[in-house]
Amino acid sequence: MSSLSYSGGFAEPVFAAQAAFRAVLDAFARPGNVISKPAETRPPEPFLGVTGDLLCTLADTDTPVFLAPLADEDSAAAAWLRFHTGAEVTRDASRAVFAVCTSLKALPALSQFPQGTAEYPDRSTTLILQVESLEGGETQVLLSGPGLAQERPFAPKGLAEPFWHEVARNNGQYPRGVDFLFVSASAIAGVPRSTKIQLQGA
Amino acid sequence: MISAAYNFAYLDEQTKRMIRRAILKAVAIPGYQVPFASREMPMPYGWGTGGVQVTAAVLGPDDVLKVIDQGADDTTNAVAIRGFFEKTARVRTTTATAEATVIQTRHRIPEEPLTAGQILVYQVPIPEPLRFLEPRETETRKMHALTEYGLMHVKLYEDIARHGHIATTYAYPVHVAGRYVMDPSPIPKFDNPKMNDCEALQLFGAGREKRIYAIPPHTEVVSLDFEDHPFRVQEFAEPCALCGSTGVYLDEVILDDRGGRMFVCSDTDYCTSHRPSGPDDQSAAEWENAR
Repeated sequence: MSSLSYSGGFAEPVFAAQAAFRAVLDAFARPGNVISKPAETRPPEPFLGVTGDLLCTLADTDTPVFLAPLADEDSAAAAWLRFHTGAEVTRDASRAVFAVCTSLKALPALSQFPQGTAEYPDRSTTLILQVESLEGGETQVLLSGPGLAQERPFAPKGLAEPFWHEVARNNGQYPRGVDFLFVSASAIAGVPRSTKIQLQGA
Repeated sequence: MISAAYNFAYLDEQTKRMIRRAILKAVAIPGYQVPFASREMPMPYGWGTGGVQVTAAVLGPDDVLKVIDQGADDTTNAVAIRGFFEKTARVRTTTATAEATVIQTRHRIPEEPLTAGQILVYQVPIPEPLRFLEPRETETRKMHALTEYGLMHVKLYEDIARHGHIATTYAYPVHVAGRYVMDPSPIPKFDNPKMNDCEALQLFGAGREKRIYAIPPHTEVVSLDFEDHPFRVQEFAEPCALCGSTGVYLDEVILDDRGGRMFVCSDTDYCTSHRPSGPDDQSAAEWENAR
């Protein structure tokens, strides 16, 4: 464990966590809306600062976190996460309350994560996906559903059609399913399971 | 003065995280009741312990808090909860609906339309709309899972068979986003249409029953009814006796023991801001005399 693991947490944990939570709440309440969120934490690679903020806000000893690509037990990122949140870093996707994906290629099939049950659909994973930018991606989808007065275009960078097909399938099993938070260096956007996905041109 | 012994907004951070995770799942599944580890609060169950915990989890130092109890800013429950957050979070409080960013409510939705920057937090006594029809939690869970809501329609039908109309006037069940049937808390059914396609985020906290649920903005909320008995809200014959507003929810106020009474806005902020000539007009004087 390097000394990197001990530094870079919230300077003002109570207020920084509250502000980050409100950004996430807004992101889920208004899907696809890009919400600017300055990074407060300085986690080690491959985490972005905003990812660190979200983990420090939501993760703790009750929430196993899955990292994709799989992190070594003593990787800097895993050690930082354990030190600042107390969360267990799990290598078992089926136990993940949160999953952080820093490279989309390494993301396991969504069905590997807990989807919730018909009686308790809330017992499912929240995925945090790091992307280069939340706008200007080559594949654009149209979002609709709760939280959206009208269809909203959404095009984060680096997410291709097969990924969105999986997200649409995820919505298809509503109310079961996982929820998505997309994170860039300075903003977040949410796509909860309730959001309908329409691929443009499809 | 803020007490040094307490964290900001009373709850400890781990509790807030747990509540925040529940709120996020609630927003992701509109109308579904998320179980949460409700804490003991320094007030009895039934006084809004669920609403207070939700408010404490969302509240930040820049928020402006409004608390209403049956529409009024100046009744015991509202005053106590407002004082609680003034003391434990030192947030600015207000009685003006438009100024507030977080509004905690017991059994009313403000008359003034809510805006996108606002969060409405409801205090909920019994979150399960099916509870009086089926007492077992295992069964109501299953009924929600299977969208088995026939029993609720039977209940409304029995109302019609007995009274000739749907006699449920408060806590009137709604269907949220085409999936879950939800108890809107004991708001008058007059307020039900305000939940539909609302600009603001609506959060519901039930402390004793340990449930949190939510309606995101711009979500379809339909009050259950029948084609031949469509949902209707209460109508009032007279305008508010203090401000003259029509199309608002009125409370009956008994004036004496000879049958004297008046109908006034239940939303005190709306009423005060709609009085034609300020607080010294004639009806207000009568109202003062009556007190």
